[in-house]
Amino acid sequence: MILENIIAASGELANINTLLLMMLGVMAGLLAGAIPGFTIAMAVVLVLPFTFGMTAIQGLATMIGVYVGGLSGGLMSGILTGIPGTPSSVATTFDGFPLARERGKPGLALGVGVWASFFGGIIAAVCLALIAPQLARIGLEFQPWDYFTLMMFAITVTASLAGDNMIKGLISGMLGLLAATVGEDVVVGVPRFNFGIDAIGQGFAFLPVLIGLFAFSRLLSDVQDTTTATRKLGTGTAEAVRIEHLKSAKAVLTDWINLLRSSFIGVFVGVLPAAGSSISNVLAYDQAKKSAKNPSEFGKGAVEGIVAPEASNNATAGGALIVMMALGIPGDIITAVMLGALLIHDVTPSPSFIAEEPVIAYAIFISFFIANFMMLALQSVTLRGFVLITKVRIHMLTSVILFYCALGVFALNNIEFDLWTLFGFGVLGFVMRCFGFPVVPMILGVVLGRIAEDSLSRVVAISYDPIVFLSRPWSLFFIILAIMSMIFPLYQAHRGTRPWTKFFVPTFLIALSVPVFMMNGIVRPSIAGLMLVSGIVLFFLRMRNGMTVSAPPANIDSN
Amino acid sequence: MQGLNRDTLIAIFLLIVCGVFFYNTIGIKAFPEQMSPALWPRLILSVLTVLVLIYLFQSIMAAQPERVSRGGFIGWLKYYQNPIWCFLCFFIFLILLPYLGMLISGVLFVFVLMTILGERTPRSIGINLVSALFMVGGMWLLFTQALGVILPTSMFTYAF
Repeated sequence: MILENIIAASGELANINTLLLMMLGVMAGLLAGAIPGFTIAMAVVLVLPFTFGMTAIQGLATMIGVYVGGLSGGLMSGILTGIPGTPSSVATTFDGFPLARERGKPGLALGVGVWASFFGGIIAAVCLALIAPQLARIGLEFQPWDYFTLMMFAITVTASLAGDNMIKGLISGMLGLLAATVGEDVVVGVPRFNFGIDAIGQGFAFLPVLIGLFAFSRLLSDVQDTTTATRKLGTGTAEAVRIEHLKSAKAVLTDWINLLRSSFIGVFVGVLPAAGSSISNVLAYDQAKKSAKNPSEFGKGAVEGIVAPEASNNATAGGALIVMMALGIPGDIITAVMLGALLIHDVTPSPSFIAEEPVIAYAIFISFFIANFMMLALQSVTLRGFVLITKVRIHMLTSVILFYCALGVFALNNIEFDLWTLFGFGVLGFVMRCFGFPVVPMILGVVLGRIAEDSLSRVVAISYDPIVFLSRPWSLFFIILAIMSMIFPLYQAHRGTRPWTKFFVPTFLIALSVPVFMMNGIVRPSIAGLMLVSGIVLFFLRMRNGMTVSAPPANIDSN
Repeated sequence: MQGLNRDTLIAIFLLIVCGVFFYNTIGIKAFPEQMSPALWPRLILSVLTVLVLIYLFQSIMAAQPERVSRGGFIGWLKYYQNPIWCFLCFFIFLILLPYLGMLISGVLFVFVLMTILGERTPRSIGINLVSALFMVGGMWLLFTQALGVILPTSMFTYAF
């Protein structure tokens, strides 16, 4: 069965059109990732309109190409100019730039980054192919109650990690859910919130909302400062150099422990909802430094300091795709866009996605694998393109991309109202950014809103009793996770300064052991027993150590 | 008496939005033996209202942030001039679209916006015009010829 699916998916991918589209996607991603301020998510969002004319597999393969290319593209500007192209490559600049500039080895620095990205991606592809189907089996146990609470958990965790103010994140997520209710309801097709405007009767199309909230508002933020707007994209110091492939590959493979550790960190961070490559690259760098034989070399051009962030940021994509495919929820903004692409092609993401759409699922596995090889091959080519692009001025790029946004949005349904939707949500997104509201939870809310309502309607069709949410193990599991994720930012802010923070982890373990204990079989209740015992032991140990905490910092105290 | 801070005003605005939407759910038609189409929006609005109330409470309790003086309304306009120009140009582009079509209104939009946001020397204006023609024309050709998308045409030229 697995072999059949692999053959069928390979057949879909192995045609010249799909491979060419993927190559274009990887090149676009590499260039987008290399431009400081131009995020990978924005590149994936802008590529989405081009995928309408494609099959679902072609569209997803192209977007995966952009994703993988974007993760690797950031290293070019980071190493050559010292300005990371994306937040995923921040840690790469710590050692990449000194190796290129101070030690005069830009070819080696780029090569190490490229090969580390490649191996990180391949390790993640293997993890994706091995873990996602197993995790999806758990997903098949989910009933509507479980799936509904899973989606609520995804929104709460994204909101809680989105910014300094969790309440703003949660409000943003709720506004996204509310925006998704505009138009006909999913059960009987009754129009809602159209306020007498016929065009709203069908609801807002996903793409104009997404591009408006994310790309439109982001572009306007980039040109807000009049001086910055007229600047060139790059510093103008980047030069095309020859990448030393052989020497670099050898250097990366020699550092295999760091490579493996960083890749696994990347996959793990990717699996966590809302925690993306911007976190994993710094985390992997930190671990590499702590484990290095000569940590004093870090920051001065250490090869290990390039291997760790680059392997981890590419591996994060694999982790995010695991969650998207196994559970049908987006792990980050990029997989949220991919889920949107699936919806546009009439494929509903759910925990049964791999079982119901095995060819598409295996095509995603394979295209992720292929995209890493393409990235390796195309890095040298796009390096020249990157040097040229750095000469373009920001205001010119912004003007052109704003037009492309409109063109792409119109191409979706050939409806002018979609352009007004783009404009409206563009204004909203910009205002939200100005007032400190994160837009990512709102986008997740829009993506998940109708699916959540569909799950809720199934729940209500079976039973009106809300207690079922607490009596079903997976549902209770996600409710506890959602509550804990909302408390987590407070725990982080006050850890060590407030007595209650000492009991957060034990309480978390004890609470989570309850639903795990309610699950079938022997393994899960056994794990629950271990969690319970660990939680109780930790609880008493911390009680015995007393409630004393260090003095809170002045700013916390004043609040 | 201290004036209302920005967060308080936003919270009040959001509460009004919640109220308007909640009031609108009253008219939503329900069907027997089906989940009411108003149930899900009401659930969202209830949670949203609670969150906004917390936000309102936080904003009232928080210390007043130091006001950043941007020189009144003129200063505010100056601070946000580029985004305002972008929105204004895009708005005019949308108005002109049914009359001039995607190609002409697109070229005009990109050229005007580039000129407003960037330098306005004769050389820059020339580069902006060429760039607008090349970038918009190229993408227009790609969508209409390669991807087969039908884009709005001008009421004067009918062809593009």
